[in-house]
Amino acid sequence: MIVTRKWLEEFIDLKDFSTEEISDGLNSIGQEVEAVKKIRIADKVVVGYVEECEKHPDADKLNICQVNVGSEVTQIVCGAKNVSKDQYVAVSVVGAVLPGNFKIKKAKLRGVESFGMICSSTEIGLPKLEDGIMVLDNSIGELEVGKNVSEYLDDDIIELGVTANRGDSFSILGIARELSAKFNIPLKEISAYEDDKNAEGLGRLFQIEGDIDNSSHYLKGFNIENDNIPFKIRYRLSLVEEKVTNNICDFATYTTVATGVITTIYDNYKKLIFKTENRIDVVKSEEKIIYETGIKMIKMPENRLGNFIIDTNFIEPEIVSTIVYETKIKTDEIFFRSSRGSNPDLKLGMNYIINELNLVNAKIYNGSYDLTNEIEKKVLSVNLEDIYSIIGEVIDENKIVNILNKLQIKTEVNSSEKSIKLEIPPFRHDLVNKYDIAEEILRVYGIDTLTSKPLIFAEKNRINDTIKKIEFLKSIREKAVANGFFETLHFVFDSKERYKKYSIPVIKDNEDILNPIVTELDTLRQTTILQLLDAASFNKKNGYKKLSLFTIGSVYNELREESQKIGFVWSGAKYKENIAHNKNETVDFAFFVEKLSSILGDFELVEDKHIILSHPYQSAKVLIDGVEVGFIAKLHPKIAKDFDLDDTFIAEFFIDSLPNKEFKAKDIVKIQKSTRDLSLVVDKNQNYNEIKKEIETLNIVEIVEFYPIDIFDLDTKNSLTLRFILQNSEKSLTDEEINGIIAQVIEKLKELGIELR
Amino acid sequence: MIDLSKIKNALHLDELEKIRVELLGKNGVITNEFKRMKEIPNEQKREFAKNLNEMKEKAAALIAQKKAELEEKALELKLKSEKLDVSMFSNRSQIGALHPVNMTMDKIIDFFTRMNFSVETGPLIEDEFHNFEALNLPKYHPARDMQDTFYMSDGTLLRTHTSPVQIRTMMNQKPPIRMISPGAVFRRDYDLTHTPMFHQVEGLVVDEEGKVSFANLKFMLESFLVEMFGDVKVRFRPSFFPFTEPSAEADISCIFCEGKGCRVCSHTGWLEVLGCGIVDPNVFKAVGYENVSGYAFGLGVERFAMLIHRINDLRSMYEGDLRLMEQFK
Repeated sequence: MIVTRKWLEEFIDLKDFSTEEISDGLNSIGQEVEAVKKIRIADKVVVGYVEECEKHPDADKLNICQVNVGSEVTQIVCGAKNVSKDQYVAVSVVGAVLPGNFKIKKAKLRGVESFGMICSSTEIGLPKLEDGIMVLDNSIGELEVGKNVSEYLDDDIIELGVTANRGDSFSILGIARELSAKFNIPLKEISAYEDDKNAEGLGRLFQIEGDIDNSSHYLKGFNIENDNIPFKIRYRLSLVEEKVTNNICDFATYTTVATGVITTIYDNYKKLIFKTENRIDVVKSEEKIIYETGIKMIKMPENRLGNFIIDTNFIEPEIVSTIVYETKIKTDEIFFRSSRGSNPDLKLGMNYIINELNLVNAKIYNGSYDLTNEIEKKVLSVNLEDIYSIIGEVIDENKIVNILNKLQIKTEVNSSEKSIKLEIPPFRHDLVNKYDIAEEILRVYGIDTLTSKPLIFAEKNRINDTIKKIEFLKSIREKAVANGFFETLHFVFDSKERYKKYSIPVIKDNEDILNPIVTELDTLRQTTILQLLDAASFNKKNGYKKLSLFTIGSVYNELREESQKIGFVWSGAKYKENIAHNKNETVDFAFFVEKLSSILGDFELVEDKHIILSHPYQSAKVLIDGVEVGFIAKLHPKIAKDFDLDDTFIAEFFIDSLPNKEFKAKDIVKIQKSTRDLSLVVDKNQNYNEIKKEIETLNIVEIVEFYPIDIFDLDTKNSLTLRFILQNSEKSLTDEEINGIIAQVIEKLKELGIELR
Repeated sequence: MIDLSKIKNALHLDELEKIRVELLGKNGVITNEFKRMKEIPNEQKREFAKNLNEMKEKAAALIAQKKAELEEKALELKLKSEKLDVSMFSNRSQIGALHPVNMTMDKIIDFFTRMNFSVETGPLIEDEFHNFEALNLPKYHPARDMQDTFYMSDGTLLRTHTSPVQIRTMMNQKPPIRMISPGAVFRRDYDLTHTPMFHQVEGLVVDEEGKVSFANLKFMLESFLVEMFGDVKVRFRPSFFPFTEPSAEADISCIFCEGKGCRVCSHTGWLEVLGCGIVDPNVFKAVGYENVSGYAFGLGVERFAMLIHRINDLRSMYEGDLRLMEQFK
């Protein structure tokens, strides 16, 4: 909602308050000021009167005007089509400086001298009002030739973010009412129009027929013989960014914005039919719908002069919103007001528009049609103690009564019961319970005035699985960072097309996003890897060589079940280049696995050729304590190429499968450990896991651990060296005992066809 | 006479060893003198032996002393040869960094858990009841426009705020409740200042009727905002949310211009940072609670992160841009 200071002053006397004070005041009571703009017309732009206007002899499009600018009559050459004799106009005289540092100088146009410029609205920094020059009239005050235009047009514009519950504040009057409550100034009365008994009766103009269920209408008629819309109306509508049509509709819009009463104007139909059709209250002529009450204007008036019908109307916001929601009918800006709650004071709206029409000598028909539903008085009783406990402070009773009265809520205090009976004004659709009343009191009282108080509550253990998981994840994230990974954040959206391209299963169409924002984000992700690759690729383009990223987030399987994954990508260099790492070592499987182990702890890798996006011969399932928790793989080089990446490794784990271990210590064995290395000749395609399992079947307690320490090529076979750590918990092992154990291992490995080297 | 001055003049350990052998070795000068003993007349023997022993001890002592001296010198040389230009090793950490949004989220969670709030989470795909209806957003409410909400083809939707977690928690637990729910939320908006996914933290406190007041809410949020932003002023402006009544928005004095007015605060001196209020009775009604009172608040984590860390570009946070992330090492 945009208001102007001068328009507000029609409803309330603000002379003691600066615009800054007004905006601070509005902010403090919950009418958020989003911007304040000051309209200031430049000096030396004066009111002029066009005394003569003739065509330029040498230029079809130019006019030579003799313009009275007060001090003199001066000659101005003007190119506007709409300039003519007897107009009041804004003249920039020589020496004026217009917006954009446009200096007005004496000029010669096709041989004719010109001393200034007749201005359009945009040339002096105003919104566009019409094609050509701006023609002024007395609606903005008695025009005096030579006076600065700024005296008539300067204004302050306040842009407010009125909240959706405050339909009553979507008008100049509504904001004036708020200021009246804030500053304790009474509102000015809008003078009531008295019918002229001698005027022609409304019945001669049109008849009405029918009945409607939900809405109220109040109708009158008028005749107008001047089709110039007053400058004030067009100017103010443009300042508050409302549509200016330059026809009779501007009167209706002006009234709606000023009073909050929805006002519509129709051509002079002989008969208007009011009917509820498909739940919608329509105004019709013969079979044609003219207006859907509170929803949409169907047929705008076509005439510029003559007879017109005015309809000030109202429909309950909840009713109209529900109907629109359920019938999915199209709406226009009228619905914006009606759905938030427009002003139901139809007579006030009618008085306002008639006052404006009278200013342009319109003839008002005698009488009215009143299709008003009686609005039930809303009465509410609130207990003061309840109000105090909602707010958290005892506020003086008189203060409360005063605040409520200023908001035009009538009060009746019951001192013995400490309660107040309230009569809610009809324009406050939002006040229905004690919480709403508490809010009214609090907002005018001032939240900043309220003393903060700590809540006293009973202790309770609020540690749950969620916070434990968050803390576990935090430890993983911190370890990932210590191991060189940067944490990234991605949308849970991804592109269905690329999922199909990379053979990743997608969610079924009938369960997928109905209204994606762009096609690249048209499904829910199943993996975080593609987005990590996007980020790696993006950073590579920016010149980064070490691309190590991880992310945690929700993913969805084909059944659209949500789970959380942690994904890792390492591409390019192992190290950020520095004095110690300058050889451009690139990441490899061993390095990547070591980094991940440093984050997640020890895990077991089991060959798996069917992992998404992966190099089929460098990919593994990851098991921790025998449970599959995710995968580690080299990115398939074809896919790496798609992302313009070099050697890249990927890994992804299910968060809920990762064990949050509690460590239990065993007694420390103080007996010396022994080490034996065993070099074996193995087949090229011998899987280490098989060797490991084979040795484990021996179940020798003295083998504390064993692991491969070296592998190299022997032409047709490989040489594999295993290191065994041996220990007996009671006594040192003798060489004989150790040799015995090793012999058992050798014997066992023979079953796999493995020999000693 | 035996010349011991050589010892003093030795320059290297090798040379010293050579001197030692010359003097005290098997065929050394002093060793050989001892061999001359039998040639010495008996009455002089005692004196000769005494002198010779003194000489031997003196030579040994001198050698030992010189050796220590030369060893020290050699070590010094070795150390010197190992000199590094340590200044070349400045600022070369290989670590990564946490994401600023998640760091901010961590900080928020830390604050509220220390204030004895529980942390609750909920699904991202929600239904109309939990996301809208139970929160006093009836079907015809403008916020439920197709413009703002991502719907799924089966009629469910991506939650537009973390508030449905309030509803789920209230339905699964009994008052008193003190909870926050951090997480991702979705709005159908994508431009310079909006991303279709962002993060919120929602807070809810529910206790007996008449117990929880706006003054309590104000206390908690003032403490929280000062913890997050440091020494700032906090102001509350009345506002409107369907699920709270009375409602307010909390502003902090602009951290960029200290309230003097700048571009970031649109020359108002204040930055809007969160929304809050007393829980609307319709919300309690929807979850079947009676005779309770409560407050709720909600905030956007990205906004907090951008203000705290002075990040200007929202979208860079979702691109994994290392030019930004590197600054958080």
